[in-house]
Amino acid sequence: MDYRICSLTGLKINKPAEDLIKWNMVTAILFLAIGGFMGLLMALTRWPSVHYLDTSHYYRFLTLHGFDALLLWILFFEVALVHFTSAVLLNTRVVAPFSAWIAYALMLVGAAFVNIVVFAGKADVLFTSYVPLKANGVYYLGIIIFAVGAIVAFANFFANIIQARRDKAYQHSLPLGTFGLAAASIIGIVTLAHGAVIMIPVFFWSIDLIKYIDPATYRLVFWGLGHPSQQINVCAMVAMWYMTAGFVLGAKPVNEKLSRTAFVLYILFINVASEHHLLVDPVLSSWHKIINTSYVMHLAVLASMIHAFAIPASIEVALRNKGYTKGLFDWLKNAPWGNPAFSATFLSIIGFGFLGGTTGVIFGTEQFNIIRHNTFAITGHFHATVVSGTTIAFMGGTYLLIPYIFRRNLVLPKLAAIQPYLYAIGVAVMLIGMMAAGTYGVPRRHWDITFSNAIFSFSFDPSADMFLSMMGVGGLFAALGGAMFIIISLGSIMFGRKIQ
Amino acid sequence: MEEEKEKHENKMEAPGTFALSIIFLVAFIVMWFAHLKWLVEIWGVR
Repeated sequence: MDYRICSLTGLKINKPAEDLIKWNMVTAILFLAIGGFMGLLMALTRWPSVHYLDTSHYYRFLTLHGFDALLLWILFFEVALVHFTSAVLLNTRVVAPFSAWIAYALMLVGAAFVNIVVFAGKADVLFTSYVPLKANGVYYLGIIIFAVGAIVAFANFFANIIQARRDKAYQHSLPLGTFGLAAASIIGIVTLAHGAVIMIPVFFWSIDLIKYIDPATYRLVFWGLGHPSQQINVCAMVAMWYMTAGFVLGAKPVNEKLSRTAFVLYILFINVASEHHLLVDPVLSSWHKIINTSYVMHLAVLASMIHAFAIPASIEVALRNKGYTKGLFDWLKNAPWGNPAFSATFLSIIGFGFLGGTTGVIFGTEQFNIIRHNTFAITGHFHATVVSGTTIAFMGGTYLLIPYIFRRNLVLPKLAAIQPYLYAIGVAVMLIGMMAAGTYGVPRRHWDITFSNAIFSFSFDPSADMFLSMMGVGGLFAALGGAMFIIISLGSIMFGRKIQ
Repeated sequence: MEEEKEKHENKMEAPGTFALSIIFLVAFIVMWFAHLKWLVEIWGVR
C-alpha cells in the first residue's frame, strides 16, 4: 500500500489521500482569492463616499462573492478535511480514490459553470437566487453538479470510516476531529440534497420546461440549503479547533463525552436556525416559528457554548502541564501567539463566540429578527460566523497542514505570524460597522441606500454613514490580511523549504 | 483521605478558563444593556 510516515506527526499518510487533500486545499484557496477580491469590491461600493461599482456590476460581483467565498472556499476546504480526518487521522486509506476524484471533478466543473455564467452577466440573481428572479440555466446546472459532487465527497468520508473499522485502524470511538467531520458530513448530505431537490425544478423552469415555481416553496426548500450549509462549516470549524489545539499543544478535550454530545446537538438542532429566514412567510405556523426560534435554537447554541469553553480549557490544561502554572493566566501569557495556526484558532474562537454567536442568538430570536432581518446587521452577523469564525479557523488549518501534507515550511514566517491578527481585526471592525449601520435600518444588499429614484425621499441618520465608512476601512484591512494569506499559503506550497 | 483531598484539589483543572468565562459573561451582559439602551435611543421606543 502506498503510504508514508509524516516526520512531524508520525501519522501514516496514504498517497491518494495526500493528493486529494492537496488539490482540494489549493482549489479552496484560489476560490477564496476570487471571492475575497469580490468582497473588497463590495466593501468599496457600500462605503458611501467611495461607492465604487455601478449597479449591474455590484449585483453581479455580490452574487460571485457569496458563491465563491461562502460555498466554494469553504466546501473545498471541508472536503480536504474529510480526507484528512478519515484517511489520515485514522491511519487508513481512501477506499475509493476514483470516486473521490469524480467528486472533486464534479465540484470543480459545477463551480466553473457558476463562475463563468455569473462573470458573463447571465446570472445576477445573488446567492439566494429567489424565484421569480431567473438566471441562465447553466447557473442552476452548475449548482446541481457542484452539490452532487460534494454529496459524493461526503459519502466517501463514511466509506473510509467503514473501511478503517474493518482494517481495525482505530479502536473504540472515533477521534474527536473525525467525529466532528462526521457530524459535518451528515449535515452536509442532508443540506446538499435540499440544494439538489430545489435546484433541479428551477433548472427546468429556467429552460422553460416547467412553467411555474412557487416562490414560497422555493424559499422553504432553499433555506434547507442556504443556512444549513453554514452549519456544515460550524461543525468543521469546531473540529479544526480541536485538531489544531491537539497538534500544536497536545491538548486533549477536558471531557470528551461532553464535546461529542455537543456535536450531536448540532446534528439534531442546528438546522432549524434556517427558520428565521421564513418568519414572515405564511408556509409555517406561528407555533412552529416560536418553538424553533427559542427553545430549539438555544439547544444548538448550547453546543457552541460547550465547545467555546471546552477548547480553551483543554489548551489551558495542556499549557499548565508544560509548567505554566503561575496564577490564573500564566498559561495564556505563554501560549504560542506567534504560531499562526494557534493564533488563528484562538482568534476564531473569540470572533465566532463573541461576535457571531452572541449576535446569532440575538438576531435569531423571533422578536428581534422581525426588526433586523434584511438589514445590514444580519450581513454583519454572518460575516462574524463565516469569516471571523470559519475562514480564520481554516486559515489556521492551512498553516497547520502545509508542513504535514505539502511537506513545506511556511515562507515569510514573520508576515505569517501577524496575518491572523491583521485579518481578524480588519474583519471585526468591518462587521461591527455593518451591524451598527444595520441598527439604523440600512438594508443589506442594496446598492443605493439614498433611494435616489424613489417617489418618496428617505434618508438615514447621518451616523449610518459613519458606520458604513467604518465597514469600508475594516474591509480594506481585512482584504490586506486576506491577500497576505493567499501569498503566504500559495507561496509556501510552491516555494517553501522542503521538509524531509 | 489524602487521595480524596488530592481529588478535591484537582477538581478545577482550568481555573483560568473559568475566570475568562465569567469575564465574558459580565461583558456580554453589559453589552446587552448598552445595546438595548442604544436601540431605544435610535428607534425612539418608550
